[in-house]
Amino acid sequence: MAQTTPPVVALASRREESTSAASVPAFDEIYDEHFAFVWRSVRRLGVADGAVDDVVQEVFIVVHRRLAEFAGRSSLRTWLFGIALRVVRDHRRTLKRKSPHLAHEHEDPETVGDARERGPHESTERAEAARLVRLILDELDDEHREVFVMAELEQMTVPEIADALGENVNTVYSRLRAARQKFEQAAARLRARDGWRMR
Amino acid sequence: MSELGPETRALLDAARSGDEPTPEDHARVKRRVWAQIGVAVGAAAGASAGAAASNAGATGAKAVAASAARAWLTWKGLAVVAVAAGVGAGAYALARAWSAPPQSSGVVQIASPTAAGSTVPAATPPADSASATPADSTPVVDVGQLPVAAPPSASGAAAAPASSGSLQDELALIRAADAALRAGNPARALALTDEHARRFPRGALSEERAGMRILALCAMGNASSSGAAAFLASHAGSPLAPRIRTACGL
Repeated sequence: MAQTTPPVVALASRREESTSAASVPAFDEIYDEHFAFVWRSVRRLGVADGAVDDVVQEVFIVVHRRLAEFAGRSSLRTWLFGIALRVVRDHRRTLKRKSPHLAHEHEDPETVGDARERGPHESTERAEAARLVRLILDELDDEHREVFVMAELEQMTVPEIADALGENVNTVYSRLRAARQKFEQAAARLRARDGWRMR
Repeated sequence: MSELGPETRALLDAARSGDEPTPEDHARVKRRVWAQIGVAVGAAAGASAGAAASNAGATGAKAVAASAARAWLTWKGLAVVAVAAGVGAGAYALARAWSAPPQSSGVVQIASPTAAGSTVPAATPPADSASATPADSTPVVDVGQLPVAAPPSASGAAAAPASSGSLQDELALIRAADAALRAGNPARALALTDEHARRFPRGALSEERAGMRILALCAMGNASSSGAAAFLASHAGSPLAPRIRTACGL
């Protein structure tokens, strides 16, 4: 993948912009290398299965449109996460406007089927753990969920997170601390309620 | 770190690899992204190309158009064309196909290489303007009848999705519907969208199908029941939106 001639799809339109062209990967490479990351992040940030396709697609459309702005200031992952974050926020806001109650229960029924077909691929135990984690994450405020996903699931560093959010490092530290507490409390409630145990 | 207990840690460890996409997810979304880039960027290029259309090589939109053409042609499996007439012209014609009403004369449609049989691979690397055929001498070809060839190997997007065959079939149907519409035969267009719906209920081009269907219904005088308003509400950014607004009087 890496040895192919680079800028195909995306870069023709941004040649003249001076930022070192060599440091910007081609759009198709970004897609192939970071699709899984974007996909995971979108799910964990609270997008229901039936809407994941749409949201991930939108993230990459934004990436394509804004690739010229990626000047290597941050890591590509950080930049991508920042975009995913904004697209997910928009998506959730739209859903809430449509139905003020639980956002994810009101997905477009037309797209739900696609997600269901995924089943057999997810090894059950991990998939179940992932489902529980998403359930717990859903109880967190947006800003807590975001830092928690980045730190605990994607294992990004606090400076990286600060970069993706456009916040300062201290803010992220304190938000992360609060997010962990909230997550732990929600996990404890879930355990108490469902008798769930991990090993 | 002290905020999280061992049980929660164990849960997180297990969950970390539990949200992975499948290869099907990867390929499916990729088709959709590439389709949208091809259509959307192409439409933008077409819109800005203005009336000096036949002079595609000289438009300022050329670079954008070139990238649109690459994306579109590679991923739609239509690598045939771009080359001969200059990529800009190809993208321009694609853009027109989606976003503008037809104009009969003096407009470059996609140039079809004369010898291109349906199985001839597109060996010529795209964007080689030195080999360009002068735009105004190229034949006008219905996009629905374009031959289909493998993507050029030098495209950097070597791994075409496994189901590109069906994507080509999808595209052929949508284009045929579009051609029927432009030829003033909305009933035929409607039948073709029905066929698409039957064969590809969850196809990558479902949105285009929905748009074509609405255009056909409006052309038949059924604007009120066409669902145009709902389509525009949920697909405001669709390249078909301007056409639908015009055709349905919205």
